[in-house]
Amino acid sequence: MEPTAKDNTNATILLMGLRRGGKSSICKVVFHNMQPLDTLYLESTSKPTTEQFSSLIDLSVMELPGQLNYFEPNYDSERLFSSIGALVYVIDSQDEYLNALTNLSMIIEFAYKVNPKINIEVLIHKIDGLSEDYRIDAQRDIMQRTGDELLDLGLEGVQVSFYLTSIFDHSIYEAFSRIVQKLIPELPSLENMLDNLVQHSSIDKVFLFDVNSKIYVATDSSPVDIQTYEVCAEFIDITIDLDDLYVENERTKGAVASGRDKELKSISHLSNGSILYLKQMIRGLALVALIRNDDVRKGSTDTNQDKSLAIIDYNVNLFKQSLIKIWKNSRLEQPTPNGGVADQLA
Amino acid sequence: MSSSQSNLARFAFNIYGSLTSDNNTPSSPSPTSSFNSIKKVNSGNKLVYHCDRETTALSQLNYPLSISNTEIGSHHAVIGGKNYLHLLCLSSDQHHVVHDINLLDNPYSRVVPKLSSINTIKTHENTIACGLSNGVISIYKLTPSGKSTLSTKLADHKRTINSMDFIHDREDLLLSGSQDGSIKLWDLRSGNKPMLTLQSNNMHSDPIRACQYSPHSSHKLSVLSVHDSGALCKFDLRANTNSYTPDRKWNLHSGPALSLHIHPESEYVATAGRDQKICVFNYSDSNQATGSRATPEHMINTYGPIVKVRWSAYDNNAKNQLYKYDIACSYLNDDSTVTVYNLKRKYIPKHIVNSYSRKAVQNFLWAQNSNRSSTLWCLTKANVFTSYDLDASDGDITRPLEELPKVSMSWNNNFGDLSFVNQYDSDEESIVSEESSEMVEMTRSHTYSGEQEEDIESTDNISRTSLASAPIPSIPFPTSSSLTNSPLDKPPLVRSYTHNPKPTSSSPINTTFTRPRLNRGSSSTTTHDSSISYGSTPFPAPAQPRHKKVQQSTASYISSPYVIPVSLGIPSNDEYVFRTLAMGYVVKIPDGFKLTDVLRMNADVAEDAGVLRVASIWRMLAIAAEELDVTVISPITEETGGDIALSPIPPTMSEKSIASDLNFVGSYNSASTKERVDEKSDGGNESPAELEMLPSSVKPHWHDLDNENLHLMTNVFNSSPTSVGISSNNTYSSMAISASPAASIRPLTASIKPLVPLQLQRNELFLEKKESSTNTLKSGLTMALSEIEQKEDLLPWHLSNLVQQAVGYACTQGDVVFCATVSLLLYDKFPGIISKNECLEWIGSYIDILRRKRMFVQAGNVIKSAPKSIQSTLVQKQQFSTDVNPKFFCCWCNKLLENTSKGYYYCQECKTNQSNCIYCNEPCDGLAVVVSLKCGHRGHFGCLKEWFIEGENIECPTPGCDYTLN
Repeated sequence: MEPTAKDNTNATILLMGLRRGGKSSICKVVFHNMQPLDTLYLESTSKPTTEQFSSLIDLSVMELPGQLNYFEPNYDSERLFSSIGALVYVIDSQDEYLNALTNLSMIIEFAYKVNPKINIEVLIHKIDGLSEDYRIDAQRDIMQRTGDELLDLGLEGVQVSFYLTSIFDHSIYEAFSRIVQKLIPELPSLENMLDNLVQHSSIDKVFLFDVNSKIYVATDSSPVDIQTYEVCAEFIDITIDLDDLYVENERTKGAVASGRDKELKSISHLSNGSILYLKQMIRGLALVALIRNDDVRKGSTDTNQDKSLAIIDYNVNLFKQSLIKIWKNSRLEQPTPNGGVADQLA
Repeated sequence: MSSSQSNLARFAFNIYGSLTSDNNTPSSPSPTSSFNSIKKVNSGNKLVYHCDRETTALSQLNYPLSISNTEIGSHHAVIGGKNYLHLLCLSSDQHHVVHDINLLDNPYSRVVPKLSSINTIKTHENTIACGLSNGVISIYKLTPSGKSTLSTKLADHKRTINSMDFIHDREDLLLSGSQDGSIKLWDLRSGNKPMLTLQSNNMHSDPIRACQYSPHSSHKLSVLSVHDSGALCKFDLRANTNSYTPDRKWNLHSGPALSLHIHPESEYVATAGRDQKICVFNYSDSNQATGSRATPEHMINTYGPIVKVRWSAYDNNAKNQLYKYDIACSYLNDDSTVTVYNLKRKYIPKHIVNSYSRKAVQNFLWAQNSNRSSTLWCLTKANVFTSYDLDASDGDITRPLEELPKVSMSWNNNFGDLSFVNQYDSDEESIVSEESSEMVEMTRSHTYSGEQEEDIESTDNISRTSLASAPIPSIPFPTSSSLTNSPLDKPPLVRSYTHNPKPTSSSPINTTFTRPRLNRGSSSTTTHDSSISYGSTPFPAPAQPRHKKVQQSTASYISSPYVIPVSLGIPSNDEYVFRTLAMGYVVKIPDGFKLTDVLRMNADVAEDAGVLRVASIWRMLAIAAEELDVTVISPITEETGGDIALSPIPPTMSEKSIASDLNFVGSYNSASTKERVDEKSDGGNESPAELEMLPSSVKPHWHDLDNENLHLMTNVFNSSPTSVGISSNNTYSSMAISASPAASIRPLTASIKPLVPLQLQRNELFLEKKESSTNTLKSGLTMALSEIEQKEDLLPWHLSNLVQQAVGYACTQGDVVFCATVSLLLYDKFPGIISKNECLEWIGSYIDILRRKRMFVQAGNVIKSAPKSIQSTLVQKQQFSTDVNPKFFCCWCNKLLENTSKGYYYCQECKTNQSNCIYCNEPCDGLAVVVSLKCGHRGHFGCLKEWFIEGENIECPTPGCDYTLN
């Protein structure tokens, strides 16, 4: 993704799919913390909506209603497709998806012509209704049919990624994390930094979360275990909830009310000896790490953990400094009005 | 197998013999070693080594080293991590670390090595390639003396190197796969630019978790890779276009695929991923399964997300290629085990290796060694390197496959009364020629000859393939003979109950498989029958020569899992009796009844079923319970005003207290002129002692009452929701009416004239019964009774004693119905008679049997009326739940709907929703009665009733449906 276009529209995610496919539900659940069951009552979306998120990159998610025809001449779909970074197409796996696949291949054909560097992501959605055996079958079937359709259209080299998602578990967050990560140009550096952090702090797994959506914008290079991700994501919720409890109190005191240099940090000891560590980073990001406990000797664990936590604190601070540097460099191209650490956590 | 292994060992000794012999002397760490101090703990016979740094990567270096002019073996471990790259030189038996060489420590350069964390290591001869997490590959060359030099650094990847592989036969070619989604091919002789890059045009394409060169594809440079998207890709490097177009692409995993390993001999690859599955897949070109639709040849379901999967280094001489090598896998989360599977028995792990101090496993490999033993090297996340010999006995290794019982037994499964399944653990693949299988079919058909139920031949595959089960459904004699002929020295299970293996051809009874017909009541013949069928193994005469023929034609002729059905004529195992008892017994005391009534009712049931002994026991218990009521409970009832009234009760009080309980008696009692006496007599109606005290004028009423009361009981009993007999109303009531033996004992009250004599007769009868029952029980009871007499506090005929004896006897007889019913009735009332475990076991097995016999209503009632303390355990621990989980089938294609419990009424087969209720548009689920109209629309019973009856409509509620009721 070369940064040719100077405006931030390059990090736009376009959400498409047939009607009643679950696009609005995805938006609401991922970006507005809506309870998954409440999405039952969402109305059908009738016009394109755009949501802006300023995370490590400025991200905007544009949702196109399924019933629109994008190939009408009065619709400026060319400009639309040329400006987006990722096209996310949602397929309802519980419904007849043959129409959706035809629609998808048409859209891919068009979008690929306009913008060959577009990332095409297909969410095989509402997978929670299918049992384990049928999921892989559905995925294979959809992949095969899509491949055939694209082959018929003469588009052979198009990379299409498929994800099995559901809003009732964390699979939708993981899929979006990987979609968003593809739009972050600094990802290799971030990953390398996190790798170094992991190696030097006896951390098992570390995520750089976007706090609002609980999407992870980067992680270290070891594979992501979905359980670890769930634990870390829940930990963000807990921390924010706890923080909300005490924020009033601090403001009444007024002494520490500046809030700008005060960053959120939270440590939790799990019953299996591991430690969850959360620290606020810049721009609504938070670093959440799962620290394993190697100490065989039970007696001296406390002091050793304190020691290792001090080291981790130091390392994480170093990481934060370099994160700020990275962000400043990437910001040189387009200055944002609100510099510094945003106190979105409070 | 053992002989072949010793052959291998000898073979290995011929090659490595000198090494093995003289390595015993220098195997202890040599003090002259100028290298790092060696920290190792040799726990038992196992190598344990604590690394002092964070470690992630593990590999094996197969290169002979001689350090300090001492030859040491050629199999060494390389461990890498954060600023850490150590070579552990192992002694040839791999039990000791001889030298510990720090490869990063270069004495010739003053430059402090830069920060680097090694993510993966691959070795080939004396070359060690290290993939770093910053995308650089460092190549180290090792001299035979153990000195290392950094030969090249290859930096072209943008992200972490996840996997590397040397290309076989072309030792200078290195393959590397990285998180950035590219595979690069390097020529180590020329510079530090890759020869070839396979990368998609996107910046961040699918990260590669593992890649490997396929050595089996002839004339091809095939490379396999697995990706975060779950795809398995096959590239052909000869195409040499720098484009990212895989030759083939398959999707085998639903989550990220994390590891792959190619079979050592053929074109099979084992892939594993986060979806907890290991897939073994044939990736050869001949496998024409199209595109992503391909399904793996084998799938192993494991218990965790898998991060590494490896085929074993050495084969086990199996004939099938896939069974030759074991598969080991380690897990992504905190699971501290490495699991070894073999595809032959892919559902049960062969070995489970618990890591040192139960820490999560970071990395592992199958180590090569000089004596070709199967050895696993593990590296835990706590940075401990351990070597496990899987053949040796080790506390950290469990072997579920061997520990599980090979023999399994089951009752009543359409074969016979019980059947056994046996399986060899050695891998005998059945070598059944076509001819011999025909022979088996002939034998089978002949032996069964129509006597046998058809479903044995039709349903069961196991018995079809196994000779052992085929000709001998009832008598195991030929099995044992053929087993002894087999080359496997496996003690056959069947011997345990073939007491007398000689065929008694004179017995005409058991030439058929069918269970000997039992005449109910005639015990002598049944015992005769059963003894014959049990012990003496009569043998069908015409089948014998055929068996010999089969045995001659094929010597080793047994496929491993075989079924032996056994039919035993157990006299007490009568289906009819069981059903009658199970349906008839009252398992909970209904309201308004006393224990003794219920016991008496059960006695009647038993009598009706024809088990007179049990009926007598019930009656005896009833009498004992009655005495207990009189002697023990009466003082209490005087104070509390209970329902048992003794003679000197003031009339007002008794009326008050009793009327509430027993006013229905009055309504039934036609001749109730003296109410007080009636009630009194009803309260203590069947106690002889009390009856003596009653004035004789009342006695007619006693009978009258008794009879009325019995009818009443029957009525209440039939309508009571807690009694077992709900569904079997007809059964019970019809028996109560028609059963003649019961009627003969119970005095009929159609005529009220026999007054005192009948009374006496009845009492005598009871006494007689009591005596007779004790007499019959004498074999089991005499000793116990004498014991009980030593106890002073309880009389021998006290209820608890009697129950104990009766239950003990029934237990020895295997009468689970009696045991369970008694414990249901008496466990709570008399704690201490029956222990909790006994009660649990009896009731649990009773429910099991009831369910097996498809008497679900009875099973449910037993669970419901189980004592409270037992009930919770039954429901929670043994999963005897009373909840009803209806299964739904698609209304279009009749396939089972799987996710209805989660609220989905969606058919995965035909991919349609189920039709909802046409009136309320809710799914027709639960126990609601679903009514289908003739037009095909359907709805809840209540909804349609509302529409048609209350709304008085005559047409279908569906808009546009013209159907009308007429």
